[in-house]
Amino acid sequence: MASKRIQKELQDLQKDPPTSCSAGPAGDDLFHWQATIMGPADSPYAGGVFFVNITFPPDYPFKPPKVTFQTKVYHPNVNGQGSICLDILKEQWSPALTISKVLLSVCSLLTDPNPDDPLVPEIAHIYKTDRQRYEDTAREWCRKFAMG
Amino acid sequence: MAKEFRVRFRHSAGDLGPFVFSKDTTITQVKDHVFSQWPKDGDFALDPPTSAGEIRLILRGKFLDDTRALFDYRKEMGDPDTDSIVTMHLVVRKMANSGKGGKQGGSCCACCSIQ
Amino acid sequence: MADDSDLCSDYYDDDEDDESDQLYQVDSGNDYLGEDTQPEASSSRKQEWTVIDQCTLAKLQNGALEAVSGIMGCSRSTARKLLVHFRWDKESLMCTVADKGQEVVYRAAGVTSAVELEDPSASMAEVDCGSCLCSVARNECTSMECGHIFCNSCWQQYFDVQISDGNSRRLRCMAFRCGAICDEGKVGELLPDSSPALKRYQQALLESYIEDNQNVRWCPSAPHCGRAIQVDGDHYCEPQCCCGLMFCFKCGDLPHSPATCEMFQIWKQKSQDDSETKNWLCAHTKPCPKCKNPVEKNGGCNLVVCRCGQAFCWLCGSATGTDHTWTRISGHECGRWKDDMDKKVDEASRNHKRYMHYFERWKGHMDSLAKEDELRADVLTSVENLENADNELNDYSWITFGLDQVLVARRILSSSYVFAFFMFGNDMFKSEISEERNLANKELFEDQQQMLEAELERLSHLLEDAQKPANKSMQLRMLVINSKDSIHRRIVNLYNTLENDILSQLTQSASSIAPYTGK
Repeated sequence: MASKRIQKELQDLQKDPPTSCSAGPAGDDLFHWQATIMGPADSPYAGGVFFVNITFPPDYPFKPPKVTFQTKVYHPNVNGQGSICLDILKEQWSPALTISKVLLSVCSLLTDPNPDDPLVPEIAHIYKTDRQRYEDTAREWCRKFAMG
Repeated sequence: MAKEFRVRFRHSAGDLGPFVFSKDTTITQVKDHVFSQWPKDGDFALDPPTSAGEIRLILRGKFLDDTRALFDYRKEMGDPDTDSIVTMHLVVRKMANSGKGGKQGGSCCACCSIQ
Repeated sequence: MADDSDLCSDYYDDDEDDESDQLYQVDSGNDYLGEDTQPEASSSRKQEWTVIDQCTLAKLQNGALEAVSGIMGCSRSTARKLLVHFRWDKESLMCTVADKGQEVVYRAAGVTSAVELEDPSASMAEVDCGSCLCSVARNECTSMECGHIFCNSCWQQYFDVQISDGNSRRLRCMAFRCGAICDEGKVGELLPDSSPALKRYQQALLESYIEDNQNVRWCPSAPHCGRAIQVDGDHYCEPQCCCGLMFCFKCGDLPHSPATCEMFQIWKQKSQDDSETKNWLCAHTKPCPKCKNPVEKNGGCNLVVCRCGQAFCWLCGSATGTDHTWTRISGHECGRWKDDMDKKVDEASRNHKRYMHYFERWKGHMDSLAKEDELRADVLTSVENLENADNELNDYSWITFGLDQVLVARRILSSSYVFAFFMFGNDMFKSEISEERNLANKELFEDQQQMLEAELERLSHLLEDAQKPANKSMQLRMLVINSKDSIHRRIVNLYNTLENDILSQLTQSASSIAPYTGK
């Protein structure tokens, strides 16, 4: 049942993918995907290509997929291990959501961080108190890691 | 088995193509073609690539390898027949010293590849 | 019928159906242990509880659901959603509806959806199921009260996953950010009759009356006896379940009145962790300046040598060589800082000794309690035998009542040491009670505590005598009954002092305790 749905999502993505996201199975395993997210133009991540790992649980879509950044990102809601703090990946997950929508939400998160629910309090603090410094650092990390 | 692929390239400024390529076209050749077809006006012209080597192609979340042919990626493209359009993503990766004379075309060095 | 704890009785005065009144008819736990002919405890709070087993559970829950259903004019399913959200507190539900309006409350409780419905697809023959991304025939799909529609197969799988995750009581619609809870009737239809998920779901709904309800607590017995206790009035009480276990309703732990729940938690922690050991170490050992391990002095000489080989001066703790004379250690001089060091050592030592004083007494009484508890079963049997064997039909229940009073008093007495440790330690309530006042409190309390203790030991001995077959005289009976009454009075006085003279001085800190019920 899960594979049928994942297969369907893959077909939909192949036919007409979102502009800033590309995704598909990393190898032969349908339950393990690799994706790229293009840094949004109106963010310090512009120009960067961020690699993302996706693992589907066996009871997908009734449980959320595990989505982590493979590329280092300087962001209040993404930590050093690439874990993303996003409500739709946890308690707000709905079986009606697709990977496409999830990736788009991550894009939105890059444009609009959520410093009040941070995964990295230090970055959240800088975001709130010294926006310029946050943007400079984010841009630099993007240049170093996402534009190689 | 398809002998040709119809490919369109999705970019933040919009879509390029679809272009038709024979199955043995290498990725380098694909990039050359896209570069030659780069629109001179509209959003695409705002920050165009200075050489084909600055173009990066992405399919199913991975960069495509210059040395491979399209045929090698048929599975990732979903085993399309001649009528269906394959969508790839495209980003322009500016070189560190691009535009300052010197190197032209081709990919710069091995350190650029992430995968 | 309870007095001020029966808050909702006004709602049902107009009801012709008196059945709902039964909800609030709580039985006094006193009946379980036999007649209570004692004078009332001075406390004005009445302590009452009901024991709930599987049968009464369904009845109580149905009663609550029907009541809300009747008042709000809604379905039973909606009534349940409302009650679960308000933790089975009808008062709170009604007040909030009056305050914020039905619409707000319905949305918060998951009765209605938080999102607008986009296209009602009721007219279509086929539905695009947003979960499996397939087109499914309309008759194989179900929509919930919120209007969102998905295919039955997806609903079923979704329920399976959610129920096994333990989310039975808040099974929400699959639509993104909807939040509406699925109607229990529809869930029942969608899950196959024999599925374990359905059984688990129904049991969870039933048990939500206990799990979500602040006035009801599972009996903490292990292994679990299957019952729960409901307390509608003051939560500071120590009910006893039908299985025999007695516990503090507020914190779920062993009974600990007159100590407060906070005191008891800290006390438990102290006896389990190392803090007292640390105190002892501080009082009796000093750290080696090289390897930092604690070193105990085992001789008179102030030059000590650690296991690691480092020598140091005991008085100041600094490292030295090993040469020394009768009066001094070579090349070393200290003596200035002695006062400061000693003060620290003395304080740690004093604290430790004080703790041990209270701990030993608490422990001693707890051990006696355990033994006397074991004895109870034997005593009951022997009393029964006596009564059967006796031709004159004498009543030997005075032995049982006496023992019960001993058990009650023993428990209270042991907890009173916990209370005293924190209350009079000049630490916990430092900011609220002055040292002089504290001393006065302590003396008053200890007087009563010691009187109680003396009488308790007396009764305990009398009962030991009563065990011996030859001593069943009327005189002994009189002594036991008098002693029992005396103990009761002393406990009443102790609690009076405690509540009215001591705890009433606390205005900021938590100071509620379970009162003495005169049992």
